[in-house]
Amino acid sequence: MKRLVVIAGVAGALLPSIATAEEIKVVSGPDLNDAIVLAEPGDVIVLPAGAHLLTEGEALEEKNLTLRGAGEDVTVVIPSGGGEAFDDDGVSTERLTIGDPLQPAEESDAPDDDAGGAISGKAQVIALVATAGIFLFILELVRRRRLAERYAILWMGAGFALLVLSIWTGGLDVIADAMGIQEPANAIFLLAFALGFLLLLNLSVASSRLSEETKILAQEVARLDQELRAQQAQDAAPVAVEDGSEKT
Amino acid sequence: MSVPDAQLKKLAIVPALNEAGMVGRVVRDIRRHAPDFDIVVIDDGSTDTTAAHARAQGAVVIAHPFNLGIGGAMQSGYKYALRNGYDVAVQIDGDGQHKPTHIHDLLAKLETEGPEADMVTGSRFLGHPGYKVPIGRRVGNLIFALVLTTLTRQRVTDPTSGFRMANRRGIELFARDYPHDYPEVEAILMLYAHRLRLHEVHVEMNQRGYGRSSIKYPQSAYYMIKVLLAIFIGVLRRRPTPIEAQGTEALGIDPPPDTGELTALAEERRS
Repeated sequence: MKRLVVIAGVAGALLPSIATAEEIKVVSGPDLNDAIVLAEPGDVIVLPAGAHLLTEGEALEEKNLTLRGAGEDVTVVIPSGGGEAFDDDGVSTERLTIGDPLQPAEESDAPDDDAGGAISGKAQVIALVATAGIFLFILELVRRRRLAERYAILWMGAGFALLVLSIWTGGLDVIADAMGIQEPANAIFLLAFALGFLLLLNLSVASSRLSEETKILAQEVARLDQELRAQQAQDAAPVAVEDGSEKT
Repeated sequence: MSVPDAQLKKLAIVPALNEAGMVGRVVRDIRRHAPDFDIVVIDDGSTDTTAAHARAQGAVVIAHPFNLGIGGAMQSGYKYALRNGYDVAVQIDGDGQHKPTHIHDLLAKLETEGPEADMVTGSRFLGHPGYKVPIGRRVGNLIFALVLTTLTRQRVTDPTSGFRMANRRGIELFARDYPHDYPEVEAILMLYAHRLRLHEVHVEMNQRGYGRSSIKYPQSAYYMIKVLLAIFIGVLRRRPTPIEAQGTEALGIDPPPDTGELTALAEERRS
C-alpha cells in the first residue's frame, strides 16, 4: 500500500502543471506522515478508520492539504505536537476527529464503542482474515479426510475461539477482567498456552496408543510370516527330504 | 513342576538386531549345550542378514518388519512360546553375551524350586563379583538392585541381566504385557505385582563380542531416570493392567490359531 502512496506522489511530481488535487489513500497510522511528505500542495489525503499519529504537522500546514476521514469519532488524527497545524486556514479536515495529543491513541478511540477495544482496525482485519483462514483450512482438512473428526472438533473449537475473539475484541478485556489479569494480552497468552499444552498432551496420548497398536501389528505380521514359511516348508518337505537339505 | 524334564517343552528366545556375524554361532552353541531347547530367533528389524544366518542354522525366525526394541522383541518371543504351548522359555541375547552352557543351571534352579520360582535370572554378581562392568553401569545396577530388593522383598542382585528363564506363568504374563524400552528391571517389578516369584543363579557372561549393548553410555542417565520412574509408577499401579489384555484370542491363548482354516484354504486353492 505504501507503493500506492509513492506512485501517487511520483505522479504528482511528474504533472506539476496540472492543477487538479490528488487524492492519496492512507492505510494505517504511520502512512499518514509518508503521504504528507509525498503530497503536492492542495492534495487530499484519505484516512481509514482508526487512530493516526501526526508528526508532519509543519508540512501539512505548508502544503495546504486536506485530510478526509471515514467519519467523526471513527477516524482520529492525533497531533504529536500541539496541533497548531489545524488552526491554519489552508488545512481542512473532513469527517474526522482531532484527538487529544496527551492521551494515548487507544483511550481516545471511541471509548463507548465496545467493538473498538484495544486493537486497531487494520490489526482486527488481519486477525479476522487469518482466523477465518485457519478455520476454513481445518474444515477443508476434515472434508478431505486428512484430519479425523475427533481431533477436528478440538482444533475447530480452538479456531472458533480465535474467530470469536477477533470479532469481539472487547471480549479479551472481559476475559482478562474475569481472570483478574490486568493486561488483556497476558490473558490471551495464558489461554493460548494452556490450550496448546492440552492439545499437545492429547496428541502424545494418541501417539502412545498408536505406537502400542503398531507394535502389536508388527508382532502379528512377523508371526504370520513365520507361520507361512513353516507351512511352505511343510508343503515342500517331501522334496526337501529327497534332497537331504532344508529349504525355507 | 513334577513333570519330568524330558516332557517339558522348552524354548530359547534369541532377540537379535543386526547380529549377522554372531547369531549363527549363538544358535549353534544353544544346539550343542542345550539340545532339548527349541530355538526361536526374533529378528527385530535387522538391516543385515541376521534372519538368513539364523535360518541357515535351523532356528525358527520371527522377523519384525521394523525395529520394536528389545521389549517388543521379547514379547514376540513369549507370544510364540505361549501359542506353541512351551512350558519353559529362556532368553539368550543374540550378541553372544549369554553363555548357553548356563542354560541348564537356570533350568535346574527352576525345577528344584518348583512352584516357588516362576522366573530364574542369571546373575553376574550373585556371590561372585568378578564380572567386570564399567563403574557407571555397576553403580546403576546396584541402585536398581537396592530399590527392587526393597520393593519386592526378594533378593535381586542383577536386575539388568537379560539372561532369564520363565515358567508357564511367566510366559503367560510376558506374552500379555512386556515393558517397552529397557524392560529387564520393569519386568521384575511386573512379576512381583502379579505375585510371581524370582530366583537367581550365578552365571558368567561374555564381554560383548559383536554388536553393542542395548544401553549406550550417553543414554544411561536417561535410562536410570526412565527406569526409576517406571518403577515408581509401577508401584502406584500395583497391578499393571495391560492394554492388550482384553482380547486373549488376539494372543492366540484360548483357541489355537486358525491354521486349520488356513490349511483348508490352501488345499482348496491347490485343488
